[in-house]
Amino acid sequence: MNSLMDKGDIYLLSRALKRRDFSAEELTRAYLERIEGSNADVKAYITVCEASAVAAAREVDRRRASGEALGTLAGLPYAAKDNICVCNVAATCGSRMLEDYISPYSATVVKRLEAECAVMLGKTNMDEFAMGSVTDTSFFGVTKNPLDTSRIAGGSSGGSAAAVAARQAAYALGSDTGGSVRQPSAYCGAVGIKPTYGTVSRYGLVAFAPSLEQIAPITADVRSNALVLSYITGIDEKDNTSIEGAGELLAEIEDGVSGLRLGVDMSLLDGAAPDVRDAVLGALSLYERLGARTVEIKLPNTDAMLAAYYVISSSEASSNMARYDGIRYGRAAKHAQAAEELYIKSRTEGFGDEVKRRIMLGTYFLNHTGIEAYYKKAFSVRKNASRLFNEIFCGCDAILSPVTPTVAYRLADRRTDPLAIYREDIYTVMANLTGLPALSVPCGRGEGGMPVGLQIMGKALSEAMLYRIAYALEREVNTQ
Amino acid sequence: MRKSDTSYFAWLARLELSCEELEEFTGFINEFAEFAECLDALASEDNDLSYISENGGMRLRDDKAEPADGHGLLLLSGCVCGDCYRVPQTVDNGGEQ
Repeated sequence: MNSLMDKGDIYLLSRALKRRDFSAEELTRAYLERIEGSNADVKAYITVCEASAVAAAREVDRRRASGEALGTLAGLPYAAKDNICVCNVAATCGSRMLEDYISPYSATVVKRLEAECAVMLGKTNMDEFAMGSVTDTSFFGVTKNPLDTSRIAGGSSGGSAAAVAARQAAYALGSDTGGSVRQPSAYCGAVGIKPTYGTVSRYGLVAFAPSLEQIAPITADVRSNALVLSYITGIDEKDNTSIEGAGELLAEIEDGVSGLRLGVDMSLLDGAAPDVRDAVLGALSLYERLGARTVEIKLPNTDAMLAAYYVISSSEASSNMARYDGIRYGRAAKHAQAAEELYIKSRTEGFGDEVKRRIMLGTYFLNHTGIEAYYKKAFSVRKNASRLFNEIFCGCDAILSPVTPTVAYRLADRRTDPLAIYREDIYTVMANLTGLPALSVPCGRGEGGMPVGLQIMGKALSEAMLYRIAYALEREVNTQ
Repeated sequence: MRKSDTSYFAWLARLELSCEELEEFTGFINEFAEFAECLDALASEDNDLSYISENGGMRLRDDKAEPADGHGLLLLSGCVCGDCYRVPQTVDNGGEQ
């Protein structure tokens, strides 16, 4: 059982459960033991739901013993980022503001997994309200990279990526607003996707920037990722931006890349560290050997897209954070004499520095001069970028780039300049701004032996092709 | 932007900033505003904010409104926890305005 857990392949684990090599309860207890053994160091989890996880696993064993036909995910333990609501479980969003919040309902993705008899192990650490890229803005402490605990795990879904990398869960759910699933996946050597906007319901995801974010799976390998996404995708009447998913995600996964045109903007690679650049170029060579053709492309102005992303996300954040006033939502400050004082004290005490920074930025963009000078321009950039990407996809099937400019750096080297930290999202925000799907898959090793992530971005609803391209690389890398 | 502007935005956002925070946020907003000048490289004279993605999403469905959950059900989800309330909390004012 332990060797299968180490491998992290959901299919193999599921097959072993069906063969009754071990029970769902045994598997769940084994993951819980791993969490107990290393969570104090890695800090992937904020909440561990031991009793309910064991009870859910026992129920799966009972149903299987009674001869019921169960799906692939039945009995497989997973973790959910702490901004995804699970009924009667804490949803802190990594914030002091929601330290005591217990969700009274479950997100649609959680309900879909429940319907498949998946076992929810617990809630994972994250940057406060998903604002950050190191998981160091969490009120509950920083998540460390399980591959090297002196390094960052990334963020904001750092806990979910670390849980998968430490094999403390078979898979995990994160949310991706500007790269928050792909970036920690790249740092931790996992596979993460940001699906086409609307294909996964956001009902039950605590809002940060609703026009940009999507819930998404993080897994140890490509096929497992496609499998989990196929179960959580689809129209949800509770999210009226939801659309039909990308269809069958696994049917063509083994078809290879022969004949595909892979677009690369070489000027974008210059911004990456040499080890990251080399790993991405190595992946390109491999794809060419497998029959794909590299096409040089010119992406729309990436600085403008990055600025537009931060204008729009901060504006939406400042609006969404308004509900946390100590009365409607969030912890209420003590000793306030009047409502206005309660609002101010509760918000000042409850929010951390990064959330305050984004609220301030968003409030500035949404005032009457900021709207004209920044917000409307950012919207215009967003529309133009969408149009330009659609034109680029007339000449290529997918766009390849690094996920991050460097590999996971040491915690001691953490950046302190907020704008410099924002600039590290340069490769990932374009998928959120345009609503397009993008996937992160390990493509080699860089400094300190840390994994390098390759980003594969496609046109709307092209997830099946992204998995196909990623799987071709993963298969080659695994056989080398 | 000056510190007095930052103080005004902090008031709008219902945040109380320390002197250091006021200094830091003023500097940061100015720095970001300078960086955001690059928006002009990709922006056009388009003031329509009714953005619908060409890529499938962000288009709202034509849903029909349905009755909300009852008041009693909502009250069940608000419970006292220590010296604060767990949310959502519904305040029943007995119909008074």
